[in-house]
Amino acid sequence: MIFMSAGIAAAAGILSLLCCRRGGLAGVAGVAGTFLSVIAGIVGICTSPPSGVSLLFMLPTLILAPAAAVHSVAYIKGHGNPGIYWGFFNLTVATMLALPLLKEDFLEFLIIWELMGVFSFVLVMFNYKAEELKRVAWIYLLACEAGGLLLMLFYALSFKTGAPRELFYIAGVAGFGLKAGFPLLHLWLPEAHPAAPAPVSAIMSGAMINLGLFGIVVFVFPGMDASLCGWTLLILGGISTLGGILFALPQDNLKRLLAYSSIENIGIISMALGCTFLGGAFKNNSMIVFGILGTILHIINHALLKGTLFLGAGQVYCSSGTLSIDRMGGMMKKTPVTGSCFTAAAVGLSGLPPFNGFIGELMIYLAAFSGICSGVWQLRIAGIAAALILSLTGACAVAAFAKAVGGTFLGEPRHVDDCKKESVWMYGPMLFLLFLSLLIVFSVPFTVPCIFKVLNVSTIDYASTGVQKILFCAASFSALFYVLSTLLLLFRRFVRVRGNENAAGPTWDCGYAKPSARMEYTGSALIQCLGDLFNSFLQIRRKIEPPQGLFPKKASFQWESPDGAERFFWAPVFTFFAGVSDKVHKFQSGYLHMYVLIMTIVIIAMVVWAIIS
Amino acid sequence: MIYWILNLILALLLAPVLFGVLNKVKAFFAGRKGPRIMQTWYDIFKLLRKGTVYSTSTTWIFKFAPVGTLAALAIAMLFLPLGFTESPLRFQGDALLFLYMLGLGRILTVLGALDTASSFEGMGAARELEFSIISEGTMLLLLIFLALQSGSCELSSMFCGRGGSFWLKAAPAMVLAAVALYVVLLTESCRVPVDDPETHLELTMIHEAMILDNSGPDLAFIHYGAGLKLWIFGAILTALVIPADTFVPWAATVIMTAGCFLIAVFVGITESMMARYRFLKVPQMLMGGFCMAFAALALLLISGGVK
Repeated sequence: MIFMSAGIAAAAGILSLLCCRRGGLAGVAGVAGTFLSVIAGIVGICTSPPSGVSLLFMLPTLILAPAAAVHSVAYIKGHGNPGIYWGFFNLTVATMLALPLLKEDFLEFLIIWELMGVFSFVLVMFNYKAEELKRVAWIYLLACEAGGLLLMLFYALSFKTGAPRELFYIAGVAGFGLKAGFPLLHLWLPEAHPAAPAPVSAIMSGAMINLGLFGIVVFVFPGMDASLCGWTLLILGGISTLGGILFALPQDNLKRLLAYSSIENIGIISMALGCTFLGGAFKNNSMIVFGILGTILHIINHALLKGTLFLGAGQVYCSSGTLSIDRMGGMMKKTPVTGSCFTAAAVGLSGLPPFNGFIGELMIYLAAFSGICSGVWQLRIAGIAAALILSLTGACAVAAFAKAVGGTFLGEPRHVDDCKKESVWMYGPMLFLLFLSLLIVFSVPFTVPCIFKVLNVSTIDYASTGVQKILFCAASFSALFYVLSTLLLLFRRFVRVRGNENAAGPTWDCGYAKPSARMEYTGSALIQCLGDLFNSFLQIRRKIEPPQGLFPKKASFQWESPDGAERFFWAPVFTFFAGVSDKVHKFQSGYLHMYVLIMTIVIIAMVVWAIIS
Repeated sequence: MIYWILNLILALLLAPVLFGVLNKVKAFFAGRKGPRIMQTWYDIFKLLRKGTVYSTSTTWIFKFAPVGTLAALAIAMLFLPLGFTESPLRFQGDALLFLYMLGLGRILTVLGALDTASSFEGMGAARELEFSIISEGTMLLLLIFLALQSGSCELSSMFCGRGGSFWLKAAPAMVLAAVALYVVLLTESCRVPVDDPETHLELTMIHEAMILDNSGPDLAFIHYGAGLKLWIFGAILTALVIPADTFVPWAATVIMTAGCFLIAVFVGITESMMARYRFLKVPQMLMGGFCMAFAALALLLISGGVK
């Protein structure tokens, strides 16, 4: 039954592809197919539940697919051939639904995994006429294929008995890490997300990159030392988290910022998993319980909130025609519902209460603090590092999202004048996702026993950690925030009723008579101090053309922050290999006598080699 | 529990008075008479009776920001060991909820500032974001420090469950932690040398720049919230330094209240003795606080004051 959901999605995809010429028909088939497959998936889960891990990695797809499908209806209007879009959208969803179920046989998994890469590649370059997309598509394809190659190596090594375990381990972690955006391997994320259509980014970021972690946990880790697994995830996750959020800060492209934030969140999930494994290695019950819950909650929270944010970015792009934060501003007045949803999701994803982002991070913090209080020095170091990284990341995320929200939605419009109105097809799914987020905050305390029953691990004693009480308290204080704010709002209203009137006027700009939108602080300006603070890591590129002379006419200032891994690691590596292949190329001179000479030398060398050995 | 509630009421009533004391100290150093001790309360009541001017640039976020900030600060206060009594609302992990409620207040203030489209408020917001990253990291290190000392993640138990002898076990670490917390206090409550709330130039403010456009009851909420924040950090610093949880309740209450006012006096003296740092220099000072907290943690782990 549960495989049927993937089957339906695949069938709907093929059907939509067949209706390539008839856009409307393809759309109907696409949306209906997505919804049917999701319903089939939910029915399948209820009738014959899959294992806990599979369920966990299916859930984000099941939630995000229908939301993204509804959003796509409005998004792809006038953006290209709907048949192709819906076809590959459903095929991608089908592969993503099938993957978590295929944890028995790696070969099947690998085939579907490769298919997922190819299908999503078509979606990423759906808007193929754009010039900059060529580079992006190339990078995405390379990343997918490099991951596939590493996984094939991993598969081959798993058969060879004498093969070094280290190589096996590294190949697996790197192969899956390419999808999960681990440090240095994250290169495709900030390129592919801004280029892909917004609903596709939502699915890729919320559900697809998690699958990399699924692969690591299910295929690479079994049989490995738990403490090694824990440290790997913790260290890689920690670097991803901090690096991701620091590079998110200076980005001007809204979706690029969100893509870096995805790297950060996958890092947080890895850290939570790492804490779980370390807790397992040192038999620390509370660390395991909090770690597992933190992982589960953060995967789902990230899917919901990042989905909302990417869909919001899609609406912003459709309304204003740009994704540059510095060019927008004041979108809240044109797209109020989108703006409000985006703000709420941004606050939630910074890990702040009263949204669901907080309870996930609370669990991870508690896992870290359990390690700190445990008395084992490895756990203590791990806990201190994890907690410190989480808090620094939280504060940086506040800054990054304050920039995203403030620059895009608040204040006055800077360059975008004719902004289209928002459409209910686009903000409806966002409201749905946000509703689910709130539902999670208040339902999790009651579902904890259920979660551990599904996980089916009898060795974990969740009751002794008091986790239910903690979640219940967190939910109550979130509720208290709503209540208290409402009371204060009512109080303000009451005070106001008693005769003092409100007035409206321009913003008081410290005596300046005619403030204009050009004087407003842009997103980049907001982050400039932070960029300077972390410049030794970010290496921001500045291009200054200072005003000259008595009556300066022209002056300009530009700053951009290209990816550090690309600039300082991959670019030199690729330049080196390009240089080497240039040199090797000289042998291919086209002269016959040169080839004969080379062959003679080789033969002589081989003979000498044979004699010596 | 009764004592905790009485302490809470005391804190809610006395928090704005801290500014009165602080300003009196500053006035004393400047040879002035200074505003009355209860001046902040008078200001709040005056503002509550006034109308509000909302800029045409703003949206609901600007209107909600002061309310949400105050609510977040009030909730953060519920986990404190007020009067050295464990909070009845405590739970494992409330220390982090406390930290994140302060963060929620911060992002709401920042968003409210950005909503006005004013360059000065943007400037204030940018600085607030920069400094808060370091001070939040310092705060977390101090929480880890306390968790190690007390073996608990409950904010109240962190302070009350350490036993009386923690000074004997790790005196150098305690001194470092207290200084680091004082730096955080100065940052979070926007005082000299990080921020000067009384400068006449908007260009050089942080917190006051962010609330330039607020007026009426909104401004009253903000002033009251600032008082609460100073009380929160004063109470934490007092509870960190003084092992008074074994005292009789009324004595503990007196000590905590006196501690908060003493810290206000200290802040006043600090403000009178030194000028605000240049903004480029502030992160250095905050990093100093961060390093001190880190050193305190390391010293604690080495010297073995760990429970």
